[in-house]
Amino acid sequence: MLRGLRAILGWTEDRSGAIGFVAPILTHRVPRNAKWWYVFGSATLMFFSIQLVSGVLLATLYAPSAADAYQSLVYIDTQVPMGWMLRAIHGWSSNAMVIMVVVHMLQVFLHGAFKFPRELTWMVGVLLLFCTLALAFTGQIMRWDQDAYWGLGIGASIVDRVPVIGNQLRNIMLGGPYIGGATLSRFFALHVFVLPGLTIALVGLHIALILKNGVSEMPKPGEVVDPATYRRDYESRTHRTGVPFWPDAAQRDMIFCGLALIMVVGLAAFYGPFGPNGNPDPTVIDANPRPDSAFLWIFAALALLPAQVETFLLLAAPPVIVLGLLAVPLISNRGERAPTRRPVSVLVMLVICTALAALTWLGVTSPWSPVMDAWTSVPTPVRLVERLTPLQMQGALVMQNQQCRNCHALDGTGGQRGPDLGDVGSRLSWDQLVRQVQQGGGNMPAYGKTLSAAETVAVVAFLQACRTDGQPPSSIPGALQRSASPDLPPVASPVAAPAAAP
Amino acid sequence: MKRLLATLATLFAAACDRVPLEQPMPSQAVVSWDGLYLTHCAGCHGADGSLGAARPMRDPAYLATLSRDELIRVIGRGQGRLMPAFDQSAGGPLTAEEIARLADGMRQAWGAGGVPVGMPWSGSAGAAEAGASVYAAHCQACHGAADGRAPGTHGSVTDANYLRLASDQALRSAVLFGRADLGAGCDGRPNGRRLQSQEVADVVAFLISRRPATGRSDR
Ligand code: HEC
Ligand code: HEC
Repeated sequence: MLRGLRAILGWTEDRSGAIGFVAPILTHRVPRNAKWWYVFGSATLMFFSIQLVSGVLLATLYAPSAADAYQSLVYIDTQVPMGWMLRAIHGWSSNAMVIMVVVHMLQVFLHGAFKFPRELTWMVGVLLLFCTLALAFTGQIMRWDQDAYWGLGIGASIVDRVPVIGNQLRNIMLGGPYIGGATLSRFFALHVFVLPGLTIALVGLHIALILKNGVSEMPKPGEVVDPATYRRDYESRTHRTGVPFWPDAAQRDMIFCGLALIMVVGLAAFYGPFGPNGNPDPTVIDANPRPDSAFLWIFAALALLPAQVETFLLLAAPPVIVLGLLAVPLISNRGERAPTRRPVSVLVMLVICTALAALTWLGVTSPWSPVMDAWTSVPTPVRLVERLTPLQMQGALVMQNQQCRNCHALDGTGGQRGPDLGDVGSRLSWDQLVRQVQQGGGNMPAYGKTLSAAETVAVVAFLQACRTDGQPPSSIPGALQRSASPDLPPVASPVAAPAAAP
Repeated sequence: MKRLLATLATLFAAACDRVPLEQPMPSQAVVSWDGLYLTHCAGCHGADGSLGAARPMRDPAYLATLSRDELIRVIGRGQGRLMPAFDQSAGGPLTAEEIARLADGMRQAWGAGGVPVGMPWSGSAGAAEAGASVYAAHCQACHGAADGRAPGTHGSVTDANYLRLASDQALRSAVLFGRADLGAGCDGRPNGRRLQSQEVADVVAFLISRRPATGRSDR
């Protein structure tokens, strides 16, 4: 019996060389002082494996079509035994993976482990970071709920701003000019085939590079990296004082991974799956809910960006961030590794981390976030209704119908994202109101293409009537006092006025 | 170390025991009709069914005239440009059952004792020329002359942009029932007399005839 088994093993080993391949990996020596600092990479890998397994299971239950996706998630949550747990684990473990990637990266940066000869390992790691974020982003879209819309809407609007080819890019991204069935198919293919495949390949490369160059030692002040001598010194040091990866270092990895796993399963069991939050409605362009936690900082940054630099920053920032991260080891690949001897690097890292944390915090609490059902539930103040003309009344209804109220309060009720408009008529003139409605500005989208001319006139007429009692409408002294006259074209400047519609 | 691991394993096993097989779903409590009204209608039709930007629902004569089916259809499919469709089949948030509950609730609470106006809620428009004189006689004082020469006391209803936004039915409902909630004598009985069926159809036709052919749907 045992002999037969050994024969089979021997045959397999002879033809494949599998054991000869794995054994050195398990026994390769790692620095003795590589302690708990080094567990984060393994934890990331573990969460990725969980994602693969739970993802395959989910793919057997999920219907990747715009008509059925939402229903199929509800089905998984309510009908499939433990289906909700599967979704919960996939969701929580995805968050955990993002966190681990970031922590891992911070550790590597802090310890200068990206320096010679591990530059390429870092660069592949940066690519893996973006793969992870892309997986998280496309995964959020799989939910095909209103949150998915946030991602798609923002993504499309960023892509749209690319000069010259913006429209084509948008069509490629969405599979047409609008978010629709083709969009979901595209993102499904990305989330399930392209990105996991790419990630697996890059993980393989990342690990191969680690094995080739060895695990870095804990940095010691004064122990400088010099490409000319580093390899030789490292070899001899690990040979003398190193310990085999298995079981010494692997043990710690396993304990940490186990704890992390318990934590994620606990969170999943306790809090359940993410979403789906509300069927998305393609006609509601302003559904503006919150993204998943990994992207909250972008959400906050977008809310805070001044309008003048918005487009520039949106287009310039992504390449700068990617190239900047990739270039880290090229900027400095030698010298001190200890954080105490690299004050500038550490400072830069702290500033970036603080900024991200602050933005995320703002995203979580976001005082400006829209009140999603204000448009149907928060009434136009009676004080205003009582003095409106029929046209202004229609304007008030446009305000509700177009969900302006989700972001704008009137007399203190409604969303707090934009300013309270209860007295806007005494602050802005007719022309200024038209311009703001049509062209947007600040964080307000432009409604020029969304509203008909009649709706624009009505809503501006309403806004002009929004005044504290007894206040006259705002006007520019000496300028033509304009107000809603029949068929007035809703343009701000008379010069640009097209011929009035008959 | 071993002891720690053992403790953790026990804890984990204990936790597993308590993981429910079904996700604890948010309680699917049936939302009462007024809850539905407050989240889905109050924004436009007023906090307590009146004094909103859109016509009041707390209007016994209105709810007595409009049939239950008509009410359910309007809520489900929407009306005109600004009244959204609420039925799920039309992309809205409410089930057919919820819409029925809402309609019944409104009819019971706000329609009790309502006297129908004696004319159907919906009807075809009549003759615009005849409507012009009805308008001059009964509406002009409040809404101003149609040619804009004599402004009325309560704002124009012959304004092109107003007419582009209001649907035919909204105009008819305004003539039939007015907006009693706003006071100001707008109760569908100009000069203290309920208009004849023909007069209603004609004055609606007159208003419709003032609506420009263009500019309605140029989003
Ligand atoms: C006593 C004054 C008065 C008379 C007479 C009067 N109305 Fe009105 N009407 C009002 C008031 C007040 C409102 C509500 C103000 C508003 O809608 O802005 C109103 C609103 C309306 C509306 C708009 C409803 C809406 O919200 O869209 C229409 C249409 C209308 N009236 C048509 C008529 C017609 C047609 C007549 C003649 C048959 C008429 N009214 C007679 C006072 C009057
Ligand atoms: C976004 C604002 C808005 C919301 C929310 C809204 N309505 Fe309306 N509703 C309107 C407008 C505007 C009209 C008139 C549209 C037209 O015909 O031009 C209207 C018309 C109606 C009518 C027909 C009135 C007539 O002309 O006789 C009914 C009935 C009605 N709504 C009921 C409801 C109910 C019930 C709800 C809640 C489920 C609701 N509405 C929610 C804006 C709204």
